[in-house]
Amino acid sequence: MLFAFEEIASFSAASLLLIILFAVFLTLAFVLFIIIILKFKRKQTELLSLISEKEKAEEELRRSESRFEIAVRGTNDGIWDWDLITEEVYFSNRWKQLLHYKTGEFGNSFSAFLANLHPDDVQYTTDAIEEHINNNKVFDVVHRIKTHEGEYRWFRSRGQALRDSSGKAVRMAGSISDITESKRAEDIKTTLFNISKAINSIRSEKELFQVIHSEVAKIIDATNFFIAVYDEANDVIIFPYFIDANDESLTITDASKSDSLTMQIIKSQKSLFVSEEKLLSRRRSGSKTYWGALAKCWIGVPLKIKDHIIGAIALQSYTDPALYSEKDIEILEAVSEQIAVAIDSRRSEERLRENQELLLSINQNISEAIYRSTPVKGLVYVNDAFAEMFGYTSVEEALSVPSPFLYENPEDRQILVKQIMEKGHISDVEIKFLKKDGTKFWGLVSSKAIFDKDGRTLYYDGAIKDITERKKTEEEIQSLNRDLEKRIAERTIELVESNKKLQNEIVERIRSEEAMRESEERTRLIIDTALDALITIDTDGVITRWNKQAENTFGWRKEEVKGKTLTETIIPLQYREAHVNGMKRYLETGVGQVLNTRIEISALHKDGHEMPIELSISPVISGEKITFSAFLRDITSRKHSEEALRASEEKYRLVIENANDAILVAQDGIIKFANPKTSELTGYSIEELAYVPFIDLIYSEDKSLVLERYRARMMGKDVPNIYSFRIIDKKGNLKLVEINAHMLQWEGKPATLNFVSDITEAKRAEDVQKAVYRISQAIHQTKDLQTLFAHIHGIVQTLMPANNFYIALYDSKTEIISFPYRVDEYDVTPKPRKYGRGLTEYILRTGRALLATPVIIDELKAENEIVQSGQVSAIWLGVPLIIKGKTVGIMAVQDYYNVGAYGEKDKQILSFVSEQVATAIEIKQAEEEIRLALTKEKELSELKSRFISMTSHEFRTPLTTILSTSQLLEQYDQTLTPEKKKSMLHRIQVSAKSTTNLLEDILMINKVEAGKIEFNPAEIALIKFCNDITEEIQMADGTKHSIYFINKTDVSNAFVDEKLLRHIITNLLSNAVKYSPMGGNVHFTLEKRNGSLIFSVKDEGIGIPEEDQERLFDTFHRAKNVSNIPGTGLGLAIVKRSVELHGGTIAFETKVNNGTKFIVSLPYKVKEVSV
Amino acid sequence: MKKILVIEDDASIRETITDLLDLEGFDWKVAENGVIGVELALDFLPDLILSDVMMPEMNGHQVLIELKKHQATASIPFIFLSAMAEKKDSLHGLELGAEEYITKPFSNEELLKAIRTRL
Repeated sequence: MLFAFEEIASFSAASLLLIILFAVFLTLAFVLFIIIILKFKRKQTELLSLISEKEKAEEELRRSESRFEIAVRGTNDGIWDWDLITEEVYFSNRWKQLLHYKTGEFGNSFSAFLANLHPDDVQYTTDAIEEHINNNKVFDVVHRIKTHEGEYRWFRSRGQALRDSSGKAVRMAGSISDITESKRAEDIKTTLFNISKAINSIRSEKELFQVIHSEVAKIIDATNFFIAVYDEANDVIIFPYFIDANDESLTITDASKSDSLTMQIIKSQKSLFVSEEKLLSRRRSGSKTYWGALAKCWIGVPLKIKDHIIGAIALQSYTDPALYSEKDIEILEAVSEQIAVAIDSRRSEERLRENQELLLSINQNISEAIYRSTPVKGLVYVNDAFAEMFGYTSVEEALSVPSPFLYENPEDRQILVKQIMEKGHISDVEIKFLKKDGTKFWGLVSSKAIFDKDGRTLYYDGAIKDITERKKTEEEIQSLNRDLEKRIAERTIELVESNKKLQNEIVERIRSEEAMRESEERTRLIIDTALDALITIDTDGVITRWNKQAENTFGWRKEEVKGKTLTETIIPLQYREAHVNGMKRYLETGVGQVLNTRIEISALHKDGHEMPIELSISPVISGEKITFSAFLRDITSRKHSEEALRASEEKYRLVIENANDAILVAQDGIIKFANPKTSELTGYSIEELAYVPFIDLIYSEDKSLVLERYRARMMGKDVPNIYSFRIIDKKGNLKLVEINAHMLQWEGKPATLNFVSDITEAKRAEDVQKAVYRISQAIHQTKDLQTLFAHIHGIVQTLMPANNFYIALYDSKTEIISFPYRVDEYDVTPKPRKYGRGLTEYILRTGRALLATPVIIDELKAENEIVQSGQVSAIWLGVPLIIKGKTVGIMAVQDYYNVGAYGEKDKQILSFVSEQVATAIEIKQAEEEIRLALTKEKELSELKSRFISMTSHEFRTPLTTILSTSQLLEQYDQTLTPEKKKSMLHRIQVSAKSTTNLLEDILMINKVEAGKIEFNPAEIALIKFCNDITEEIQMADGTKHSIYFINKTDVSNAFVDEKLLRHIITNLLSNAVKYSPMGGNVHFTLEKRNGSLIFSVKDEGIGIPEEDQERLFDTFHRAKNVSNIPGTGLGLAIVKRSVELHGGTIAFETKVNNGTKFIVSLPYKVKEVSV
Repeated sequence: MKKILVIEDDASIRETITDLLDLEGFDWKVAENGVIGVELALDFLPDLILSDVMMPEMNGHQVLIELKKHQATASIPFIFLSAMAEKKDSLHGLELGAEEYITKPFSNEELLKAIRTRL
């Protein structure tokens, strides 16, 4: 280096300089060290706080994780896809599986499908397909398809045609789902409904049974069907309905002793399934009494009315041993209840009718005249025979005749009444009566009085037998007797004949009386044995008949109620007036509101308690005579249970109507009851719900699960009460629900009570939470961003379909968008690209999530917000990745087919997840940055120690000269010549100067590091400047190398920072010298090109290895091949910064062991204004 | 007159040392790098060698190793004069067989004492 000589410094001045230099050096080293340490600490604190936040979030998520439950998956629909042009049909494996075919077993043609379709369903199915293809009507049919085993199952088939641009259908695709079970449930429900309707509307039993049979035949093969009724009293089984291919109906007597299958059911009260094998073994061991034709299988179920068996119904097959199964028993049992009710109600109605008819027929069909009269009114009732006997044309006419007119001697009536009053009755009194036409006849009268409870006479009931003929004969006999003696001989035969006749007539009369007694006896028997209480009253309300059941029901004995009125016995206070008035009204007008219907009312027991009864009253009119027959039944227990049931149902309803859960009662596959929440959940109104089969609400994949559980529950099996499945509401939205199902009795039958809550949102929230947790886990489980993104993709897929997914990151410095992760069905991952006008950029620009439907895309295109490229998706959903308020990228999913693949919900979810993803990216980036920083710090620390040892070496060398030489000057002061002293002092100064230069380099690089170099350009004489520096370097180097400055310009002055340019050129030249072998040439050339000054320094030195070229201008960096050549590694760093401050560039060309050429290009400026 | 070989790439230091050796009455030769140093040592066969460590072409360590290979020079006392001041550097030098390792900057007294002890 060249510097100005000053006056010779004193010895102490040299020492002082030495101390200053040491102090400066130490301070500098310390400051540098502190800077490095602080930088490292800050990075570490940031990393620690990030990690603790992450741990907190993870803890919360872990807690929620424990609550998470995996949703249950069901089965899929079978899929078909029919190419209408080639006629080829693709059937999915699931499709085949539904029909029990294996993969590859079913032909891929439409005709193969048609061949398997039930013959009855072919026409409407093909019609529906045609209608869909031609008129675009919805294709949604229910039909039967034959399974691999040959069994037909019901399927719901839906499909949609795909049309070409002209609208012509080219393909049709759809799905089938097995609805056999729900169809069957539906059919059973319909059948039961039809049967119950028939019971109410069809009077004739035979006709009713026919209807029942035809209804049963709709759901089950009923070729051979019978209804058996067991008459316990007579121990006979009769078959009121019997349809059989082989056998005739019969009556089984001594039934309890028979081994008939019907009897077996009646005895066991259980349903019976008998296989052919069992039927055969019965034949081998049992009696032969009631064998019909041998069936292949036989099923029968009991007919029960409140645990009382009244008979059985059965089905049998003579051809198919597998025709019936346990399942059919269930169906038959359901039907049997209805049939039993039908038979029972028919039977009781019949009993009532029979009773009434019997009474009527007793009264009207016997030949004797029957009458009833009251002491005041006279005749109130006569039968047809009475009117006939007295020669009246009608009963009414007969009743209109005052009683005394009927007697030849009206006094006779008084006599009769007197006798009756005395004895209570008269019997076989011969009275002469008067006919309408005035003729007389003899009648044999029997009569009895009926009294009220006070002993007053209510009626005289009597019977008259016409004995005119007998009387005549008797009279004739008497007349003949008078001539007997005279004509005994001639008349003997006549007499004998007459006697015979007489005898006959007597026998006849006795028989007829017997018959009447018998008939009455039978009536009484029937009445007494009736299940219902039978009470007969007269028009005054007086009880005339009181059967056993009435005694049991009301506590009054027959004797006790005799002559009493109903109001005195069983009618409660509140009804008495109504009863009296009602009866009065009826008697006056013939209108009775309560007559001939069944009403529920309360009655009094003898002990005073009131009880509910079922009452039906029928007036029995015999001529003028009216009685009322009342059938009453104690329905206390029924009422109680009904009340209790109603109360309990009311209670349920109260809870249910106000519940937050959807609550519904399902029975027989349909919703029997649903609360308003159910309607809210399903979208169907309460009315609609009554017609929607429960199973239709369930998502196809979950149907089998729910059905299975439902059936198991109904069968009393222990199945989980709480589980979740998916439903589809009226609008077609899929909802995840959690059900809590319980058994209960509903309207007397088992049903399920279900609490259903919509957990769609909760599940979503849980899924999202879980996803967030998994993302945070992934952050520290994955090493790099790439793996993390793959994890995130997997996690997003648990929340929504994500077949097409990408993450794009934007570098705002370079304006480059890169795609570190992308999975796509169509497009290949694009290369990093410049910020353009895609959807990705739109999100980056707006920083908002976007659900890009076709409509929105069109709008954005119209507004010139986006330009689309690549495969255009049907729907695109993108969300921004925001770190510290800055959109650093986006995450997007898209679907190429389904516009409805994503919705607002998904946008929300993805937005939520994006925050986690952004955090993940931030953490990962921070981690990577820190790792990078740590590597850099490590390198820096290495560089630092190298720098320290290097600077130490560099300082020590001149200091050695300074110290040693100054000691020589001190110790050999006397010996040394003045010339030698001067040369020594010069040496000290050169060394001190070198130390200063080194110090300046270090200070300079510190400024470079801190960005504190100032650029102070000024106009200088450039060529002179270059020449001077070249000279300086050459002088310092001595003769070891040759340095040439070549000026190829016409430039003299330039506007530059002189200090910085000196750094640049000095450094480049001294480097060229330093790294060149002895004798090497260094060429320093100045050129002017394109408005720039080009300074190039070319040496013939060791060159720069490729591995070091990249970091050549880094601070402290030194190439590997510098060996022992001293240097701080600071020079080029300073050079580069100096060049940059000038707005110039630096480049180099190099080859190891061949030399290096540095080219510095600075803008050529002459004046300040041009800066 | 004792012969001393000085191997040192820095001209100033070389001059300073030779000035001192002149003043103290030693015969000396200098080499400005290791290669020359080895040649001179074999030719000159000095009584003692003072050598820098960090030098171009061949460093001080290599010089010592090389000289230890030659019988003529193997037992010549060898003193390192180094600006590398760390303990491990001096230890390394001594391990190679140097008599002494003097850290720059040094005092003339220190250097003379080291030289005289070895002669």
